[in-house]
Amino acid sequence: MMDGNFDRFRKKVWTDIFVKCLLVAFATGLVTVNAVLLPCKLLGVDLLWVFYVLIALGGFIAGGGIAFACLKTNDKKIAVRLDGELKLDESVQTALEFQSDKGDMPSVQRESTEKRLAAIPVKSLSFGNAVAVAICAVICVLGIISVPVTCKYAPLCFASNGRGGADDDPVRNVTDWEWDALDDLIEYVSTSKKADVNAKTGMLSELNGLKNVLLGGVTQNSLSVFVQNTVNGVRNAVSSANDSASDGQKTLNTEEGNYVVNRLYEIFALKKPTEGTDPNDPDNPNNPDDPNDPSGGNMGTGELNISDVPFFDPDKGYVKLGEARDEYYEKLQLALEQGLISREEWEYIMLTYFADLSNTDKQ
Amino acid sequence: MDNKAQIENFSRSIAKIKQEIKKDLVGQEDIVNNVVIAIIAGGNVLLEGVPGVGKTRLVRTLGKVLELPFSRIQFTPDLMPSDVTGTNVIERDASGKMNSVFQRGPIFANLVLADEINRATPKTQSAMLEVMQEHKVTVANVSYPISEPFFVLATQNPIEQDGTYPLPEAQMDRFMFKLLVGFPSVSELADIVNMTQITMDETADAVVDGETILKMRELAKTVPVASEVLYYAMRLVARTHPELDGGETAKKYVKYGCSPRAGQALITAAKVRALIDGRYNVSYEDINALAYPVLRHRIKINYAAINEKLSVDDVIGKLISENAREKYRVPDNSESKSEAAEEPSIEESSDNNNADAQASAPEIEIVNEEKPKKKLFGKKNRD
Repeated sequence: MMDGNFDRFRKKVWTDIFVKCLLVAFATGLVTVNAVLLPCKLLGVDLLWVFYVLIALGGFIAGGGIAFACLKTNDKKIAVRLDGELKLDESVQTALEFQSDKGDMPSVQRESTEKRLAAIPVKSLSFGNAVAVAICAVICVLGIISVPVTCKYAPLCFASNGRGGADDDPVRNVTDWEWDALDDLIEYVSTSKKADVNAKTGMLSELNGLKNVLLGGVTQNSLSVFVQNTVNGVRNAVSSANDSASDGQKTLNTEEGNYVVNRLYEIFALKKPTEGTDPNDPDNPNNPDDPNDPSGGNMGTGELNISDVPFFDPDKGYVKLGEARDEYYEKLQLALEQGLISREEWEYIMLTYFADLSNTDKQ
Repeated sequence: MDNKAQIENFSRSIAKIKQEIKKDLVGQEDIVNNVVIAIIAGGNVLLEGVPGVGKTRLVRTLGKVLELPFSRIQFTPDLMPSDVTGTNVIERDASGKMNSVFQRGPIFANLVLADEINRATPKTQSAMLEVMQEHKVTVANVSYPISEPFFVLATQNPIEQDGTYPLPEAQMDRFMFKLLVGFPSVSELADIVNMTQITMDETADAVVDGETILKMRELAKTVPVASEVLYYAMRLVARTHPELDGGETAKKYVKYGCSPRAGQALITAAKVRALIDGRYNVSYEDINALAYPVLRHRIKINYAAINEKLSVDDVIGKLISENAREKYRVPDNSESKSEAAEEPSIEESSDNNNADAQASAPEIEIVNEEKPKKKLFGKKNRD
């Protein structure tokens, strides 16, 4: 018996079930992928997109499977539902149970049930679980929206460098050349006979302190601060040593100190303080190298301050100022930024064309 | 095809019967309906009501409409069993020889009104009830069958209880229904007076005969009952027993539950009710509607119910609500056997006459239903 009209309702019920399962599957997949994506973004973990797709697919299958297991039905349950919702007085259940009974009464009962079902449109049977379906639909929409939003805007809150995720202060890796140059500077100061013991000890202390700090890991901003602090420390050491030094020794101490300072700026490609200040005078009250100023005038562009650095022209000798030097320097920096020259080449050119800084007296 | 036509005409036939009865009886539609159901189902009815509400008139009218011989027995304390069933008398035949001849009693009719049955002695009551159960009379070891259809409508007065012999439970169980006849409304009273001012005679015409009633009875037996509905009815019956794990209501308010005859009566009457309504299967609504007349004389409520001023009908209402809340399923054989291990077989209680081939005491299986879990998806049965 149970063909025709019962089939209409059976198809409707199964269609509804599949729609609900699909909704649940999508909602689960999207929730799962968001549950993985957000923490990854916050922690700075970078997974291949394939993994996210697989995770979403897994959630889709799991959610859909569970929903199907819960919602699946059979003819008997459909009959019970029809009788309940459409007020059919248990006629569908009875007709289904006695569908193979050929007796007069069961036959009449089946015919009567068929007639009653035929008079009822399929739409009369409710979709069911409207609230749950609505919730799943909302979750799907939110899930679809949140994936690209999370990818784009999720902050790097918990990355291992402990910073708040701002890109303006990235980790500064000290290069091998910089380590070697710093070691060379320390070696130079310790073996140099120019400065006296007091000045030398002070400068070495500052330089070793800087080295230890760099070993702990720095960012670009903090590097500038640490270098500036070292510079200030070196100048203070020289100034202290000069208090008890003779006039001649004072000059030598000062020269040595200036060399160390300039070398530090050069090694870490930091900008010296602005022009107009006397870099040879550590007691200059207008010294722009304020140790409390985190910017130090040498912040983060990597550009060498060459305002008072002599430019060595092989033909003309040392030239302190001049547009040719400035222009050449700008080209050099641009070339380095664009990757046209390597860091080693840049260093070589700097050393070659911007000369020995301690020979400023020759100008 | 004749059968199918008969099936489809069943409700029309019943409607005709009721219409004819209405000519002579004002109001009492529920009573008339249930009495007709009982007749078709082959059961007997106990009517409880004050005098003058139309009990005798109902049976008399039924007799006319169904073209069945009618008799009335007025029960009094001095009525003897032989006054009901008949007795052997000595008669002289044509040749002058004295013979013992069985003189049939008033019970030998198709429709019998046993008025105020609770005024008769238990002995006379038992004679009456033997006939009700077996549809035959045994006198001096000779059985005299009563022609079918046989229907007894017994009455009792709820007011005068002095000098009465309340029917014992085993005998109450023989009645398919116990119906409470209420006092007619004012408009019904007016109609009664107007009608009886014209004539007191019954003016209803015969619509069907006894043969038709028997055919209708056979037809009603073939009405299919879905398993869920059947078990719903059986659970309702089992739920009346406090000693079974049926629910809280019986434990709280019921002293004694009903017998398996209640289950038989429920289903049999529900089939007739369904057909009368023009349906061809039994529904939960049929079971719920018939639960009251079927169960009210079979359940004994306890003092807790009396204390809370609950009537038997109130308790039945609670049982119906309790039964309707739980999930209906058909237990499989293994489950039913293991779970029925605790419950005793409910056997037919022995009555005075050792009668009743019909009460075969089926086991009532109770399935420990889990409380329905609150569902995330949907409010009723899932599809």
